[in-house]
Amino acid sequence: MGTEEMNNEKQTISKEEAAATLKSVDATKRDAIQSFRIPLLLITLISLSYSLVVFSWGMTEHENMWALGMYIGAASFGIFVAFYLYTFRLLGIKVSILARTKERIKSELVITGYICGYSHFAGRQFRVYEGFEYAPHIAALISGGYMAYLLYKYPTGEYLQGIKHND
Amino acid sequence: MTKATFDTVIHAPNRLQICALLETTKELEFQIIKEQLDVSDSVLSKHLKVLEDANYVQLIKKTEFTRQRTWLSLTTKGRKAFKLHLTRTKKNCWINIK
Repeated sequence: MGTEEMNNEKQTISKEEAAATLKSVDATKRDAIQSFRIPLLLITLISLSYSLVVFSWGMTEHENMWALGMYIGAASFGIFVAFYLYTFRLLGIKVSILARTKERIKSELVITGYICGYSHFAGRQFRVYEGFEYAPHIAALISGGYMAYLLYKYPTGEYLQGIKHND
Repeated sequence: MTKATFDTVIHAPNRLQICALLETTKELEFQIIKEQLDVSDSVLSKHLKVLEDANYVQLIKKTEFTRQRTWLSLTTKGRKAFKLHLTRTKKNCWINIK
């Protein structure tokens, strides 16, 4: 390999080749995401345990037992997430947990934080202060559904732009 | 015919796929990439060496449960170079990948 070929910026490609390149990258990412999918049972368990935390938080009052539901939900959520991370690691995939790119921080984590945080607290606030009895139910449904969506769509924890999920 | 400059280190089909795979996650094991690309150990090692020499990919060898495992990840430079490469390619062919 000559010096000229080693230079990263000297070669050119045609329009057709560029289109084929983009299609190939898109297909590779899509296939990878599909093969790295988390089992639906595990997605369901993680989402349900998270929903239980949100719901129990909304229902907790002075002496009732919903606080116990919150602790059980949090413990099972931790166990299921640890199981997910551990099995993926055994399979040879390390999942991104913390945001590393600006795009991910902007487009994913802020929205996720807002939806989960708002539904978590709104469930309780609306029930206690506004008297809306079904607020915790709705909050749990929203946050659990959103958690399931994220786990299904981004199993490796990485935000990917431009991927068609037409599976 | 429209032409554009591009990164020759990344542009080779197998290396492009390696970068695309590594972009989907934090780290991947050598074996997983080999299975996804359906190539031999030697072919994959050769391409990884090129990417590693360009400082686009980082290789970490670890022994886990008495088994040697090689973990691969895109470096910050590699991630930027891959994104830049895709941006230039997109501009060149005027198609929207979304």
